[in-house]
Amino acid sequence: MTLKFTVTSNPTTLSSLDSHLLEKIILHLSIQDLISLSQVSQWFLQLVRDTPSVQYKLYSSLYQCTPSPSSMTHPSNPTKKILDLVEKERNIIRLTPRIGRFGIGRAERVHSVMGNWLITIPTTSLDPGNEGADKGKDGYELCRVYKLDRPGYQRVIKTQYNPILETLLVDIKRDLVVYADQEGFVHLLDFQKEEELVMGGTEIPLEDWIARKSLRMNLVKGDKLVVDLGARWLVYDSGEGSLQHRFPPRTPWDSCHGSIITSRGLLVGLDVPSIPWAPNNKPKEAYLAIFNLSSPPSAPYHPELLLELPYSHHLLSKTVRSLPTTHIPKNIKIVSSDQPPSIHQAQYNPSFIRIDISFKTTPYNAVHTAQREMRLEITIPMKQLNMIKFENIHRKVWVKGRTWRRGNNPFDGVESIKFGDWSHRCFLDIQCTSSSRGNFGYTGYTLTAQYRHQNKGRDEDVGCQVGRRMFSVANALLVEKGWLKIDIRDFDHREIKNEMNGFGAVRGVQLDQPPRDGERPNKPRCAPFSYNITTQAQSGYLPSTSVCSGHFRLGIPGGVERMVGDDEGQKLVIQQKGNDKVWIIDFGA
Amino acid sequence: MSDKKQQVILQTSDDEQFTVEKIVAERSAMIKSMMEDLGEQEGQAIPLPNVSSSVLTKILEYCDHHKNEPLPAADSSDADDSRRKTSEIGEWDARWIQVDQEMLFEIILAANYLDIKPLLDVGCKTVANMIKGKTPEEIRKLFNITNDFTPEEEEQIRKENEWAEE
Repeated sequence: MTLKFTVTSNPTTLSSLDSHLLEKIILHLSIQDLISLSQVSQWFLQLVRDTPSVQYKLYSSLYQCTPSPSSMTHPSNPTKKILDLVEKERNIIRLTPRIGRFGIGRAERVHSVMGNWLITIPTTSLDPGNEGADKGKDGYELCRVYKLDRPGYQRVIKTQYNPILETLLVDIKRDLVVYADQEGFVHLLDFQKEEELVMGGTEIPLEDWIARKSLRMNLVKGDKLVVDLGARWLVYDSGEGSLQHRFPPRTPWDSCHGSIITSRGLLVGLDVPSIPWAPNNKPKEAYLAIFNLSSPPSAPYHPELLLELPYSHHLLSKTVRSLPTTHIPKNIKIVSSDQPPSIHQAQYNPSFIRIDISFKTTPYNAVHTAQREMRLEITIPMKQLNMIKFENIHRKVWVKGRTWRRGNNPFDGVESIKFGDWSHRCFLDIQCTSSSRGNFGYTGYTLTAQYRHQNKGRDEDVGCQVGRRMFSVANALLVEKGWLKIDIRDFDHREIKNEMNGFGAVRGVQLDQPPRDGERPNKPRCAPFSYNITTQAQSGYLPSTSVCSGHFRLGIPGGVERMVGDDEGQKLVIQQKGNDKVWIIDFGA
Repeated sequence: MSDKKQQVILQTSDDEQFTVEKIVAERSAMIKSMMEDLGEQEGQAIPLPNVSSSVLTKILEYCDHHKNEPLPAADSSDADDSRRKTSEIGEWDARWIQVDQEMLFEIILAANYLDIKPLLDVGCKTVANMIKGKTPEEIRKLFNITNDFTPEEEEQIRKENEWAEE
């Protein structure tokens, strides 16, 4: 028996596909492609605006969030996620978080927070002079894992190898735990199963292990693990543990004074070459050298970009005096600091690079004690790097010598891009770091890289860089009064899309609808007892910025032991010294 | 079991019948489920009213090539499917799907109807790859679409999407 049916023969076009099929297609598109598609015709515009999962993708890009790949390709309940995302942004701008406390062990230090997972490491092994953790019956304690939404839940991850806890990296989204042990092996564990992906670990080549200046782990795109040894970078396949690339291949980069690695595999290194014949061997110049470790550079290993920094005395002085926000009188001398520039460490995938260059100011006729310590802060949005590259695409690579001959001056002969040719693509600010002597009539904020502030004076502000934002907390107020003074500087300020747009790809949501019962946790939001927001409109090539600040009374005095932000820029976790409860500052919906 | 029992007859919308190996036909979750429902009724054709013979010919070629690969789990959600995380298409699949636009969309519709998830994925990725990196004007040309925005609307669109400019 066979069944009969009618044949239809209309030509099939893209617009004749069902909406769920169109959704499957356009979810594969990038943000730029979605924007282009929305500009094709009214029909495509409506398609982009009416597809919640696409809207979620656009909103995530608008607010520069990094949801997991699966939630990006097929988010469940995207409409709610959009509302949550927008509400989080609003809570940050209005400084209305939920503030709660969460108990951890007294001998633990907060390591990181990802979503609702809080990771701590034992403090005993961090004590100076202590060569690693104590080996208990079941092995060394690597870390403890808590769930912020499940008080009482606690998991201890142990290992048979004596770990260097500072190297610990936990990526729950990738189900990975990475650390190095005291004998120079890198271990990759499955987070859920706590099983090693490569039994016994992967050995760091002995010469690199011995020559290491520091040791950090980074996971980058393409399932690669980058082991940062301070002057050399080893790229491993994180699944198999095989060494894929060693950079630089021969001479280590000894003049590298710090670096950051983005999740896309960009290595941004601060190069401060030393010139042997210079007086006191004092560095005269500084550069940012940018390489791509995802597609490893080949010989002669030129950087993709070599950017001159305003570090030399003349350039620094000229730059500082040219800033419109600062007026330094002519009778004030600018003196270079003995300190080399520094690069901020960022949590997770940074969307900007922050360089600090210290200097001093002093009246020409004054005694030495009248000096003020200042800092030039240079913030380069990552997006601008491509533009700098594009603007200089016609520049001839002029190499007078061979690169990497000397590790303390590897780019000798490579023509850098002069600061004046790229300064329009970065933010410049000046901060007075010796605040007791006042400033020159400008207001600013003090920020310190997260790992630099540790064990410094109580006046130091504590900061952490997450995504496009810099969060900073005034330590002195927390020590003296138990007040949390928080500043959030956003280097790519985005207006909240409260109203429906007429034609934009992002449709806009109505935010002020009250949440329905059961949709939100019962814990009330906190409003700061003082609040201020300043926004700087987009200018030239640079995006709009904002700084919002406010005070909260926490009630428990004590300096910051550790402050970390989560991977989505939604939560801040603050651990006070000597306190076994941490503060969870949650801006989420 | 005889060889005959390992075969199944498929009947297309234009009344053509295809005798295919069971293992090939089972790439389609829909056909597999129908076969289970019909049982071992020899010679009974499975009607495919939404698939023409030309499209089925093409799809059977795909199913035959992939017949020995593990079938995706019936309850696998899209989010679990790692293939979705990239826009890459296998070499053979990319060559196989080099067809005209009408056939491409017919394949997508048929893959959806027949519930062949990996094929649907290949089809959707192919269309997405066609769009990638193109300007609105190039997309219009590609799909023969008329621009129905007024110049004022176009200007407003550009303004409202400024945030996404690199």
